[in-house]
Amino acid sequence: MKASVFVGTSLDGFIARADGAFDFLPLGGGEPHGYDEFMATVDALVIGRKTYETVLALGAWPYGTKPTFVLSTHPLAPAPAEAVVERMSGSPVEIVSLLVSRGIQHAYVDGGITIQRITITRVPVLIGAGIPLFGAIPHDITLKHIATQQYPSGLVKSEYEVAGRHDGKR
Amino acid sequence: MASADSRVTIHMAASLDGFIARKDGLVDWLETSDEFADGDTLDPAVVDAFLKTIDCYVMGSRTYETALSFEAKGFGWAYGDKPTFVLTGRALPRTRDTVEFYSGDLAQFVNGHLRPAFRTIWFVGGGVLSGECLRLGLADEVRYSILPILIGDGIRFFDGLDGDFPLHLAEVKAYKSGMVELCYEVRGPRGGPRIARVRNTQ
Repeated sequence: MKASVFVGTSLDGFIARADGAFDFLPLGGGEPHGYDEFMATVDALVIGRKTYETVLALGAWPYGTKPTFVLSTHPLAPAPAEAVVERMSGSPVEIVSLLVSRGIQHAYVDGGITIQRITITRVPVLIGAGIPLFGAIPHDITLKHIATQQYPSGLVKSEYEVAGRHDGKR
Repeated sequence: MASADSRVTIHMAASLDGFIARKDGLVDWLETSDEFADGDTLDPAVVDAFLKTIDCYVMGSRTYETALSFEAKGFGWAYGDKPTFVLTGRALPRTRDTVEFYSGDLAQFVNGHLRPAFRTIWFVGGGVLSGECLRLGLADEVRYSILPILIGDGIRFFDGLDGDFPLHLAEVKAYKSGMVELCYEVRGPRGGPRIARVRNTQ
């Protein structure tokens, strides 16, 4: 199974402000930059509880009938009628094997499990503080640059594959 | 009086997760082994010609110390014979005539001293100085060289920004080394009000 990240950040690398707001991202996702094409290749989503609650608060469920696994050790707020939502908890290895056992080949992931492909779309703004894209990682992770594309509104989309990890000096 | 055609660029290389150095200042991760076949080559002659267009460098004390340690390890001095201004209140070793120390008001230094004397002025870090330069509305351009690595923690690209800074994308380049260089213009009046405030910095 392949796990991919597709996310928008500020130029300084934040996915949200410290209070969780992402008002600095363009409304409605901004100009088309491949999100729909990317989502078409994905057969499940894996999201954290915070993202789930943020998405619920948006009002309209954005993932259609695509199976959405929410990583949480606590019961979830009820999902909208059309959504296919399931709670999941466990170690990254357990989660991956569970997804594989369910026939998932390509998952969109926003945290919690090991990622193979990262697509970051940078919005042309510095916001100074917020929630970084990645939390603490135990080792350096080296990447392979796949492609970078720019859009008229100033978005820059870069795709990377995870190449490996090695011990950094800490 | 500020020279009309002087240009202040903030340039730094950072990891994909936005760090310019590890917590202890180390930049040992800068050399990555990635190869991006479709990328541009950094031809030494082109790099040389480009570096010649830079008239002076401005840096913080820790960036200066990093440059000194690189030189001590035999990697050479990265800033050629260009005037290099180190913003610091500390007493630091001065290893060459081109290095000058300055402590005091940054806006006064840039507008009163640097802009009248130099056309192409490069701020090369670190995060605190770059943040101050941007916050005070002194920068015209932000150049961000992104390396294909995640290091998880460290010193951030910009420190102490007190609001949003909308930028205008000017140029994108991908290099064979896997590095992606983004160049943005800083729009709006220098030192003018910014559109929004960050509510909480922690």
